[in-house]
Amino acid sequence: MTSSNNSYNKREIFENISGQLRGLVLIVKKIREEIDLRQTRKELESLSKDYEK
Amino acid sequence: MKNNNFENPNNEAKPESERESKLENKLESQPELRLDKQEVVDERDLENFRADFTEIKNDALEISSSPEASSQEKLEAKIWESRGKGLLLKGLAALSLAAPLSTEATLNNNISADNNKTEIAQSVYDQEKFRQEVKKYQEHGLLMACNLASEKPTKFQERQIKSLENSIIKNIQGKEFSSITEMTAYINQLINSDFSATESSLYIKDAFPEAPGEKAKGSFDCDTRSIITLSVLSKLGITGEQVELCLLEDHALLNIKKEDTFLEMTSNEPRQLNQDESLQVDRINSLEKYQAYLLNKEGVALASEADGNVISGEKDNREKQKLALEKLISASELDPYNLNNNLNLLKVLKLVPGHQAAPELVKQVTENIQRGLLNNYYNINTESEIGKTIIIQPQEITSQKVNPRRLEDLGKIEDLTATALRENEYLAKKFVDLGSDLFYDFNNPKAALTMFQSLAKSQESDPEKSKSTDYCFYQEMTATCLFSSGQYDKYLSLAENELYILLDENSKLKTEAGSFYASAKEEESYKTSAAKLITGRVALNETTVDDFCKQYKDDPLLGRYISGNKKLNSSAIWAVTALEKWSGYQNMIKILNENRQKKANSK
Repeated sequence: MTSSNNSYNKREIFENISGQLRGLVLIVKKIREEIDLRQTRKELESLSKDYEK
Repeated sequence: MKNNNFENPNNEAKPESERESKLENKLESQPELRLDKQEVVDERDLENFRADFTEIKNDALEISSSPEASSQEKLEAKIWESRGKGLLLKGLAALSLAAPLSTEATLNNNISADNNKTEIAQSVYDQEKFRQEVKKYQEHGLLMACNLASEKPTKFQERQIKSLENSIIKNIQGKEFSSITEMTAYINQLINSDFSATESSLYIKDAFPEAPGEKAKGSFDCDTRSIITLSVLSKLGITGEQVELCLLEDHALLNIKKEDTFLEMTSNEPRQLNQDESLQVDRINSLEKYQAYLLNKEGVALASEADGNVISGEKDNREKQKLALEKLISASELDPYNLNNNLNLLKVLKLVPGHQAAPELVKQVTENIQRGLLNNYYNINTESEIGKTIIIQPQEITSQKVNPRRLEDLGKIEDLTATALRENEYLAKKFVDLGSDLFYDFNNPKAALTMFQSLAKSQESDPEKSKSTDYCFYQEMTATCLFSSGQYDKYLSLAENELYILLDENSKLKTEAGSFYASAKEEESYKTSAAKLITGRVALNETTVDDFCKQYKDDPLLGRYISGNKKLNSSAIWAVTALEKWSGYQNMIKILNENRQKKANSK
């Protein structure tokens, strides 16, 4: 086996795995954004209620 | 969101990075570009790769602590974090930055090579000699006598320690306290009221000047405060049955047992331990355990000196590391299930070149850690093993041990482990960390296997958990360890079982585990299982890669992988890294490259 073949395979495997990891980053970020959004909305509602009072 | 939990994350990643996508297309149409590339992955790629996992971990932490997050969202975050960890480990292994999936043969080669270079430290403690030393200080309380026997202070320092104890006793006599906790805190206050001391010393003697007119090297820390307090308490008739020295990850606390309180010696505040903390506690309640505690303290100090020492020569540092190992091994022999000692021993073993040459020691240490955690989980060892007399009358340094309860009395260790892991997340996390350490840092797949098998077993009897991504991760690691430790027949049967799950439509639809394996519309999972199958069969000499490729090249499922119509992806890590060890691998690569070339030419 030549070293270039070895490098080829390793890089390809790495690229694929890091692609999947990036995908996970986006998924977890998406969950967090949704939660943050809910939190902000709740805070705004509470502020507007206070303002009305 | 709810329906795409198990979609291939790779599909989501691509649209996010146009640059990556363009590069991917270019490389797809011109594979020779990749073949010519010598550099595997540059530093920046690697940094980004590691940073991605940190990002997942941080976001997952935020989600799990957010009051706004639903329990479903918290669970999802945990699943993705676990999957991320698995990918991180796989990625590093692919680049051989962590230990690759090695065969038994290469593992053995490493061991014999290291054996030539490294002398493995042996335990050197002499218990009888220690007892004789302790007797020299018998006018002090026993715990203090042990400490002085180990530290060997100057006569001046010893006199000051005694004088401090006496002045505290004098101050306390006639005073009334509502609880032992209050009395203990009062004694701690009298030792020295400066709880914010930054120059704390490891040894009691260093909190006192060596000779008249000199300055002390440091102030009291949590350990030294605990020992002096216990020594004073013992002179006042408060025994180990009432107050006990405890360690929580290198931090000393006093447990006032009847009041179910722990006293923080550096803040002088009473506190309760949460469930996770109570699993980490080491109770120092016998002469052997106390001796082990002192040896551990010395070992850690030596190892830290060697690790941070850039002034002394390499040889000096190696000597210190060896000495540190000897002390920590002794500590582990004296108090086998002490978590603190064993974890420190593992840390130091990692620092020493050739630590892989001690696979049996590493295995023993990790088994002891498992046992220590289980003992704490099932409340074994909380009873003091030491008789009352040992504290009150220091000259009697033989104690009558209370017959301690043993874990075996409660049931089969295997079942007890599974139950504890199923019910306690901290334990499961600890097992994952230890298993990963054993596999990736210590190249010890046999020891790692028991960790991941226990974890997988813990989920099997729970219908919900056996569908989880965690379960898939444990199974993947079990397979990796089986292969790396040369248990090819078991590895093959696991791979066949996975393929069976995939082929069983009902099971695939019913279980999340099935849909996880079948993520990316089956292709990824078939490839993973196919790669495992090839690897297993070749390892068992049932076939050669060539024959396997010929036999299955038209197979509707395996054929696509074999023929190389699709590029190798993460699943191929199994075949690629494993088959590197076989001569047949070259043939496989040749076939794959020829097919790839044919495809490129036909375009």
